[in-house]
Amino acid sequence: MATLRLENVHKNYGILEDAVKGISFTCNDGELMVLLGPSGCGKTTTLRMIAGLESVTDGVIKIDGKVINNLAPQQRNVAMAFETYALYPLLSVYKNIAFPLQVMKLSKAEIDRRVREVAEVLSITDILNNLPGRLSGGEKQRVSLARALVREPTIFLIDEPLSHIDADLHYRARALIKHIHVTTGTTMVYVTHDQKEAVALADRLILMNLGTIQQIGTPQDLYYHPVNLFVASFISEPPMNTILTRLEMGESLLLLHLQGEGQVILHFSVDEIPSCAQHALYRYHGKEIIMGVRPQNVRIQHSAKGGGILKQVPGKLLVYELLVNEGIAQVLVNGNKFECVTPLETTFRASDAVRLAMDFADLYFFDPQTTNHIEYKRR
Amino acid sequence: MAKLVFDRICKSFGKIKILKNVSFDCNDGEFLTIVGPSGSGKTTVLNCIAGLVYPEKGTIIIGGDDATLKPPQERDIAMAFGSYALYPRFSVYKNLAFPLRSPRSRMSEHEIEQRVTWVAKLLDIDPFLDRLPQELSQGQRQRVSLGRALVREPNLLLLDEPTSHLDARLRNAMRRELKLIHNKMTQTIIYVTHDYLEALSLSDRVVVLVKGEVLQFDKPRNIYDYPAAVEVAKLFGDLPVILFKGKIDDAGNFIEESGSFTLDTTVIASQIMPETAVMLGLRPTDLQLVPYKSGTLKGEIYSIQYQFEKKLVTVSTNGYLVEVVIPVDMNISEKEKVGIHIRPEACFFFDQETHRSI
Repeated sequence: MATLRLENVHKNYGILEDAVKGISFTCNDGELMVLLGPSGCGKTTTLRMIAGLESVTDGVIKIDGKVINNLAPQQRNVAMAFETYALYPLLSVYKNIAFPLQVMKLSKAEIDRRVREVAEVLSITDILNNLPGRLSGGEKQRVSLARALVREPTIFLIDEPLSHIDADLHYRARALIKHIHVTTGTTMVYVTHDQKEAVALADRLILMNLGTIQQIGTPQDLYYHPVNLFVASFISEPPMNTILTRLEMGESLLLLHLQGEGQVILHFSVDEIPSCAQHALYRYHGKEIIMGVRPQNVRIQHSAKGGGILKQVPGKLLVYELLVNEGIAQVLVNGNKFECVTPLETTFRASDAVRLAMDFADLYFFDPQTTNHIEYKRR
Repeated sequence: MAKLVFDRICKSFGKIKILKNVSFDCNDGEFLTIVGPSGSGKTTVLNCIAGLVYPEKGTIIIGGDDATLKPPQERDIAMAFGSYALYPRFSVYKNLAFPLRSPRSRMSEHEIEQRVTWVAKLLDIDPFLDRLPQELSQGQRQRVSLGRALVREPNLLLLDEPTSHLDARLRNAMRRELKLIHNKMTQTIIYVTHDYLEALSLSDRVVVLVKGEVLQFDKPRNIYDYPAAVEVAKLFGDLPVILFKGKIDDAGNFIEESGSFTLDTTVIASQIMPETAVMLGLRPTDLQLVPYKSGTLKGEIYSIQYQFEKKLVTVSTNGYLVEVVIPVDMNISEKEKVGIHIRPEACFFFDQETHRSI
């Protein structure tokens, strides 16, 4: 049990640019914090600095208020599980798990108690006598987690543990990690590049890009209140549709001119727009602004069905994918590609003329220069 | 153009039987997908079609001609792989032009340019023709690799897990991209993958290959709705099916092996011979979380995973872990006692021994 604090931490590998550029965050006692980002964003480097496997170029790492920058890895009482299992092939599962405790010179009885306890949590009691070579991928992963957990570390660090497991076992492995977290109450820092995994696990998550923190918050925070375009596009699947528009605010209508080939305008009745949004958007009147809308919030229908000009634009259906419980449509609107997730619909054909409709409340706006989210209080 | 018949093919490597009487056919212009876990023999099927290996038994007919023992270059087939295998020192243009410059094709530079431009436009890579492969993103490289296979306009295009090493997001985007490209062309395509979403989204028909045997050959939606075997149901779905072992009694009720629960399945199981040892299969999306008392299954929450529009809940019940998908606004917490409601219509039954659907 521990609180982890990073203050303005830098890492430089001897080239011009820092790999980690002064990041700060606190991971509370018992929290499951996920470090998320594309490859090369610095998330694994950050984790390795916490573990003591990399030196800290500048800044401070504290556990429970104590600076640990210069402590050796084994003195930090943090445990780390890697994406490769790294089990000892000639030792039984039991001995693999007991190994770190023998190093700590615990009594035989105490070792046995702890091994059996952690084996119980991870449901590997009946394979304790097997050699690693005879285990399935999922079992090896659980043994590797057990060996890390058995030391009862104050902080548990996990680096992309699921990338070696068959896709259909991912959800089960995630369930296991979540279960361990709830059962043991250990503070955990979990690294992944997979947004779906991050969202499934995190109490809070830290989204990184190019060595900096973009945003820290709960999955909902990042989904509903992304600070910028990067966060908004990274956090949902399929990615948010983002389109450059020119905004025009009239007496009764707000107009978004979609930039592209020809003139296509999205009209919204001002009555539908909360006054705080009108206020926030007014300074973009006559200027360019990036509009974002999630594929889940775009409705699609055949053109023939019509329905006025408000809230909708005409387009051409490029592809319609039928999946299990939903369909995904890709629609071309004056040169801009929109994706929309729809209920299963079997009447759509490629090249159909369609209309896309969306509600103002589902739109996000970003400044084209800074790409920052223009936030206002929703509903 | 090419219709393909793959008839009772057997292939072994040493003592190991890789393909066991594999049969399917693919119509002219069809998009056929072969789905299977790794080691199922998918790639060997493609290699047989391409002529890279020869089967011991069976016949391969391409466009009406027996091609079983024909050398690869006489089959008019192109193949693209997951690893792009692009020439690193050649520009995109030269990579695309390469198959057209073989001594056999004898094309003029003018013709070559026309073909390369055509394929580059089709795949949206025309702005990058002068770049080297290393200057492209993964998705762009994939399209160049695809372009090199397409540029000869082969009768038959074989694609071997072209998206396997892309991350989830890129794979989803590439899937739609492939569908878009396929809409624009008339080639017969045979596509190998282990990703059921690709099979579902792209194909006209699907061959499910497991351990060298065809377990099912049907339209993709039918495979999802009526899996012919346990292995098929496991492959086809975001969340694999939950399986319970047990028996059917005289009235058509399912009785779980350890006696932990009984399910009234008379509506669908009355045709099954009483006392048959069966496996009951359920999709997590078909289950409902209900109060403890009213559940067919009773247990406690093992863990909760958040997914924005829904939550994935794992329930620990009678020694089984069972996943249930619930709406995101439903409030529950870990360790809570809950029940699971099972709709009998949502059950699949499989034979315990053969794993085939009953």
